[in-house]
Amino acid sequence: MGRSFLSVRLGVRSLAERWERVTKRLDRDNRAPAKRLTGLAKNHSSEAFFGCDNPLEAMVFSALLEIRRNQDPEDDDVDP
Amino acid sequence: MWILDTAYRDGVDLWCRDRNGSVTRKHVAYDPPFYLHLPDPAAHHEMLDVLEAEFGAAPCTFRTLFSELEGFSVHGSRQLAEQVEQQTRFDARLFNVDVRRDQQFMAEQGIFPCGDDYGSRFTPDLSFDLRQVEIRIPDDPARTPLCTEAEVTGDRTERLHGPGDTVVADLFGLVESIDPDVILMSHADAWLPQFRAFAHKNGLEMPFSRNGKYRQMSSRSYWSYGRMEHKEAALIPDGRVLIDTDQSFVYREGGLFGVLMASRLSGLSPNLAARFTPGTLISSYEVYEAVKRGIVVPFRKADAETVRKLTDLRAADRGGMMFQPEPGIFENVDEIDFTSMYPSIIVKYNLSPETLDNLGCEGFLPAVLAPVVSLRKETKRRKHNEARYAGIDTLLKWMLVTCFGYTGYKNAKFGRIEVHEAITARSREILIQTKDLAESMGFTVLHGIVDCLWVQGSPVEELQQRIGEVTGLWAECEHFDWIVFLPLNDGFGAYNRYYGRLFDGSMKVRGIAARRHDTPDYIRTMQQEMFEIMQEERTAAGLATVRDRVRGIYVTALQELPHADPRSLAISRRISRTRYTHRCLEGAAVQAYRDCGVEVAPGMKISYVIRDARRYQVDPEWSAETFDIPYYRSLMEKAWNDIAYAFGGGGRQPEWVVQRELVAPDPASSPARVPQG
Repeated sequence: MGRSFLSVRLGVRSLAERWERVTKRLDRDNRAPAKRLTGLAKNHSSEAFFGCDNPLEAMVFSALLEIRRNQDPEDDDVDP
Repeated sequence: MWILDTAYRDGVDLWCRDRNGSVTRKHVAYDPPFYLHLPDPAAHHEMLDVLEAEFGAAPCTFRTLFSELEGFSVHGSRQLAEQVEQQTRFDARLFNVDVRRDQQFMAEQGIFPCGDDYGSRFTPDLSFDLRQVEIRIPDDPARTPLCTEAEVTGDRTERLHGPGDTVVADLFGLVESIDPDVILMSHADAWLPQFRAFAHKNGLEMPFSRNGKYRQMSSRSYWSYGRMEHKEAALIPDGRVLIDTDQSFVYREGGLFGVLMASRLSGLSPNLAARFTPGTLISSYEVYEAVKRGIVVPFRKADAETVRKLTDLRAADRGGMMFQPEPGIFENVDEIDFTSMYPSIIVKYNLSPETLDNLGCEGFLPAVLAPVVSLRKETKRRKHNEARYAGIDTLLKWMLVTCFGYTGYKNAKFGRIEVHEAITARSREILIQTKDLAESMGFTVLHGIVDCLWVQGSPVEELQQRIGEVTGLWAECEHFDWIVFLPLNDGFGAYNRYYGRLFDGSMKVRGIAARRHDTPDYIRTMQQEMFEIMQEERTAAGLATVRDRVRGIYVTALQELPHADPRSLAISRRISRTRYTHRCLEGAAVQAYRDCGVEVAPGMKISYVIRDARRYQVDPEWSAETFDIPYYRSLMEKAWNDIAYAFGGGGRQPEWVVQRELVAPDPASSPARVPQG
């Protein structure tokens, strides 16, 4: 029911598959962090779909959120 | 007057059952008009003159869902209406063209089938004392012209066995002597045409109809919720309810109570209610309610969607909200499930095609759905103590589920895509609101799908109450002692694959082999036996102690696989097509059916056993003698992996158990064959 077009959620899945293909072509040292990045980008895609109209926007938001979460809180006190 | 069946034959036939159990036919002359609105009547004056002279067309005013319209009432058939459409180059708007006349008559008169005329349609109680007979025929009608065995259960059980013509003649005699009101019969819709051909050939009277007349319903294949379905052609008897116990979705889900309630609500004969989908039933219910309220029913939808940019469509049409679960095993989890969330949103927020542009008016959809939503709440409450309400509850659940889908269906009489979007938008807000509320009360939200949240924390009763106060919707709670959310291949949690032990000791299983319709019995039984052991344990720690016993079931099943009955390995699937461009097992199964002389149609269910998966060799279930052991082992491994995940301590890496650890039996000692190559 409703219409059929690529949802943000399906778009995220398709983009993630592309990122995974890219990951396989990277040199050995970069493969693990790239794989982790794809995981981070997918982490919040379900929730991000509520507000984002664009799958790439949802993935970037999700990855940045996870990176920020994993930062040391003391970084906040560093004067840029 | 209890209406058992209705039909339209140059007037309305009502088959009424009195208190003594005798059924009589009442014929009422009835020829309702259809309605015609023309934007510019003067442009079609010649056609109007003919309609007036030949078909009694008369000027009138009628009420649509949106406004009153000036137009004409015309006493004519559907063919005439279609000719009018073509003559006016589709300028004409037509109403009440395709409403079933017996249904329309009852709606106008305020009467309905399967209920006392003084009672309400919306009570969960069905008072009836119908003479029932159940006919079980083990033969397959696709492969046997006449049945050679039958078991007829009425007041007592009769078993018929012998040559086909004798069994069928005896069956006719039994039905005639019992004179039942309701016949529950396996594959009735497939058998009846074969029985009729036999009756004609032998000069017999087929006794299923009370006046010898049958209505013909043609077969068709159609898409429903993303999958192809098939409906067999049917011969519908007059004056008696005949239910195909194998084909009827409503009977399978709701039993006889469900069929009778569907008939009562939709205003359709129980014979039709048993053969229609829940979507057609809720649509028919809306038509009945519209006619009862004096609203005309459009023949074709005219309120087309306005043109919008793709970005706007994407922003508006997002569907339901999901929160991805963390895969693993969790203890003391509560599932908070909104009862009939989408219909409740329609009612609470007054969402209807005509209210989107006119917020003040009372909407048609909320008005007609409100009593059904209330009835569902009542049956859901009662079914916990009285099993007889379970069938009605399931039927109502299906009707209410599809009422939302129909708002987005392009041909729905009272649908509009913007209503569909508004409902899902509200549902997303409500689920997020509920999640925020739960977290503010100290709960941890583990997972969420559209109308359901899984939370850890307490007291859940307080949360339930607060949800009701904040959202205005009723939510039910189910407590899991433990629940396992399974991972996808990429390690992220799957939305719809989980299982767990409920507080009452039963298991709730979704999306895995034991629950899937195409799982072979052998594998389903294996997983169910595993669950029987796992459900003894109330904690995750306790679960770990039964790991070896559960694994033992897997090992035993693997070892006994070569000796299994091939029929227990049959895969049952509904086929979506009959021509395949690539080689596949389903295509091979379709061909195998054809080779046996059984014609298949899209949407039909077929059952087959894989003889050699690599070579795409497949046998229909009834003729399977061997099977592909490695193929079925791989299916068993998948089923075991879902269970083994529970013993992995809830981490991301499950305890994947590979079959090479196990000692496989000697295939040479078994009746099954391991394909070569």
